[in-house]
Amino acid sequence: MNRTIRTLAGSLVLALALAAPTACAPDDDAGGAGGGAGDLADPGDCTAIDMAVSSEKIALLSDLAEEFNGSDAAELDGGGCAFVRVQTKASGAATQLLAQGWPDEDVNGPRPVVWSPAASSWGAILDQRLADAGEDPMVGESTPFMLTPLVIAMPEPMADALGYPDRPIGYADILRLARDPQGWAAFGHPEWGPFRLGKTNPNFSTSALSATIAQYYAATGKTDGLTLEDLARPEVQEFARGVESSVVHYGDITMTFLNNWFRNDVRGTSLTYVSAVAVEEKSVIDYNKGDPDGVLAPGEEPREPRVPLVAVYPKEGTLYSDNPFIVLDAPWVDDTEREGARAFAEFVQRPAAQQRVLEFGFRPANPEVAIGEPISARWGVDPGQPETLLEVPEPEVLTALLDRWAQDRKRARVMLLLDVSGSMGDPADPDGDPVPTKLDLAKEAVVDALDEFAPDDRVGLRVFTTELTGGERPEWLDLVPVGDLAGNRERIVRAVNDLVPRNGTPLYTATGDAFDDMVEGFDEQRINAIVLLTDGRNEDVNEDLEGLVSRLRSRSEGESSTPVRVFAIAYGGDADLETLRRIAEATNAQVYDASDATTISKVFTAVVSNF
Amino acid sequence: MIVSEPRRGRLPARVLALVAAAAMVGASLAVRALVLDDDGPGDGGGRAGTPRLACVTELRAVCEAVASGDAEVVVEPSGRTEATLAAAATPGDAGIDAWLAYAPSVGIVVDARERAGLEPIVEPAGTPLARSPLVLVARADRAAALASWCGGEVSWRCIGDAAGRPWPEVGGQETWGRVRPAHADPVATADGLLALGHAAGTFLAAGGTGGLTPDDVSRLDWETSDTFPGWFQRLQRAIPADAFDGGDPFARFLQTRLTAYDLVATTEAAATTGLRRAAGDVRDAAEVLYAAPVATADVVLVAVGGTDLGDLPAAVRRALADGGFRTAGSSDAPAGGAPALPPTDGLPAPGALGALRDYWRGVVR
Repeated sequence: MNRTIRTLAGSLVLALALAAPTACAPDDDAGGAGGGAGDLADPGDCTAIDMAVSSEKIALLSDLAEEFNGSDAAELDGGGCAFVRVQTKASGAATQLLAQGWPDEDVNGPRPVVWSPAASSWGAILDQRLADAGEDPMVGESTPFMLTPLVIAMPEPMADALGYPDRPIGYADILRLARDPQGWAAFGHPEWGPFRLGKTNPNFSTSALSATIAQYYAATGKTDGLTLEDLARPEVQEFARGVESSVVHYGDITMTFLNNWFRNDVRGTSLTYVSAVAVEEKSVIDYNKGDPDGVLAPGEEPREPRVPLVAVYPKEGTLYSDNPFIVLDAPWVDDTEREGARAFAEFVQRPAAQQRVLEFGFRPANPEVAIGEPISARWGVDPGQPETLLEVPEPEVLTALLDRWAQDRKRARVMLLLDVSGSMGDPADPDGDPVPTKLDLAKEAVVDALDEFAPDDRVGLRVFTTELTGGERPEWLDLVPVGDLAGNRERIVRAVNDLVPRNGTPLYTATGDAFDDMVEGFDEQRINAIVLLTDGRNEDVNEDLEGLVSRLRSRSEGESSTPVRVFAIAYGGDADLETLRRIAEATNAQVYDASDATTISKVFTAVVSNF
Repeated sequence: MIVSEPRRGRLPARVLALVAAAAMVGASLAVRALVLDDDGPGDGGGRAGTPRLACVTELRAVCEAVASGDAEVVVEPSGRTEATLAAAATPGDAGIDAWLAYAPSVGIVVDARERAGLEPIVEPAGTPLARSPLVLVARADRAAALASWCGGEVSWRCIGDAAGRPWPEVGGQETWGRVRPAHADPVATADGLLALGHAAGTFLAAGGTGGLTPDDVSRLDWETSDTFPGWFQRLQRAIPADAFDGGDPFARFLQTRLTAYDLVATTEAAATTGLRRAAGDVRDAAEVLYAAPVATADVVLVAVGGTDLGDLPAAVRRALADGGFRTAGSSDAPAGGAPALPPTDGLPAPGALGALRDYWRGVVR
């Protein structure tokens, strides 16, 4: 293998194959989430320079574009001017689109002249995919725009208990702790319960992939030169399974953990939700500033957490997300656009622009700009770190690593809880044809999502509506009890295909009963979860939402909790998103917005990434 | 007009352009003189009547300084120009009228044409316009530990011995990981070729029994050495793969605030320019090492097909001086304990460098 093309590319090619775009929450590094063009400004007589950027820097680059447009810097040598327009597009989704020649601009936004994914590895993936298809590379001039290292975020009291920073901590230490059955009791804090690790899914998330690389390095005691032989060693696999066993759940974005952590902090339970999460340094700063997902919603005021996080820089080294600024060598990019792109590329490297990078919690790529606030101990991070970097393994090792992870990951025990109320028979597109209906698309999404589970994951199917017969309760019916997917798969497919829309939506009763049943059969060796899909509002005689939320929360908090996560999908335009958000968040899970019913397949795939 | 090859992971062009800006005004007149020489034998293929000056990527800033609206400057990797000049049937086929490069690259072209039985189209490199010692830039704490482990004087031989070892074995901290030197890709870049020659030449000369100097090293020396293959493999395999992606590892080193590698090879000119412009947190944490024995990057400007370069050499020399290169009259060691220039570049002959490059391919790929 040519070492010069050793990048994350190899593995992420596989990741791309597995990752489907979501259409929900903002993503820092998710390989899937889409994003749209939004309203594009009129460039007037200037040449439009369209950019596709990953979402964590959309606000910053939009600001910089606004400063650039109309300025002297935007004037082109041969006359005329450049006008930069920025659209958000998640790294993985953009990679897929570029590899396909960026089809359907009406849906995907204009073809970009400049692309800025979260990490250069996505560029390598793109060129590799193009090469595989016998096409020319597309990644042209490329300059890192800003950097942020992967760190292990940990509540300050926990880092203190481990002696950090006086005692350096490595992935191996963290992972050893994760495997220790004594948990925090070994450090004099039994009240914190077991060590709980937060990890996203490396098939979707760049930071998760980096963390998984680090994990396997830790398992081998190496910091470079990870090999296929290393991955095949039984003790390495045993180590990895031990680590994965402490995972709370997976998911496509780290923001899920950070938001849930912050909500727990408000309630004073952050130390028992999760002990450590692999995230980008920037996320630690955002969290400690009181903006855990880095996006202030309308009416949201930043409020510093009671228990701040500390960024632990692993002593073995770490990996950077470098946010490259890539001027595409694409057939649709002409010389004038290229010149305009270069002008903007130069503009964003200016010290003034790079100071803005700092304001957003990233490290400037221009070494002329000193690292300063907010990258400081005040916000839980250390500008003097990292001391060293881990080496990115060769592509075939990365691919094997992802395969290995799929085998070593924590297994799931999941109930699919589907709404089959009458409104599920409404058209998926309210302004379009009567078919497909919402139920048609949901059935398709459920069946497709089964492919994302392992044969020894335990999966079952329950439906809910009013006036059901033949079951324990009129509000719900177990069609396939939770069991190994290998044995249940065909039964679930048949049952799903037979579903028809029925009556009302007994949301609270169905959710509460499902939760109780899953708690009763809680399996601590697995991720225990409910995937709740509903298109309506509660229509039950049971209207006690507060009681339901309290019940869910009581089993989800504390050192001896038996957490069953309720991942809720608000399906279609009439779904009760706020109620579903409360239900999901009470269990430290997440709500997914599929108000556009045609996105359900992508959303369902994102939900299943939690397992 | 400047035509640039794609840059990958480089220092922002702006950073380099600013360094060169001061030299731009004076130099433009010289370029204009070149432009006026329409009837010269070069016929370099630029716009009508506009000769082309090719520059190795590492000297981009110098070329930008001497470019004017009337000159066409091509910035491209050394290997590409080498290949073009080595294969051109006539000077006109080369598409350029002059080449600004490091001396060994010119020597490689001359050798290649001789072997192919082609008429010379460039003269062998003569007196360099400017020189710059080859250096290593390291984090200061790593530099101190390494110097101590090397017995006070850092050499490539010693670096190769340390490469890949856990830092505690070399007197460093556990948190530093393993010793990770870096140099650029010697096939794609001129800097990489010089660093490769410096490293291998140092080892082979030191291992010889007849008072060999790095300048004398030839293919026979590494083919008959029992120790070189292991040492060379250890060194090259300890270099992080991204150093060989065709970009500039020194730029990456600065961008990552000195974390991408432990020490990285570059020229004194690039090191002093880059560190002078870098923020204090980067500058203060870095140290420049002159690996013994000192070798140099010698910059030459050669005419293709005998084109009259007019005052261009003088303009280029000024731009090189502004860019941190040592030029005639300023060749004394700069302040700060930097060594004086050696009498020769201290590198294996061009032919040996070319063969070393092939050997490197076999080890790394």
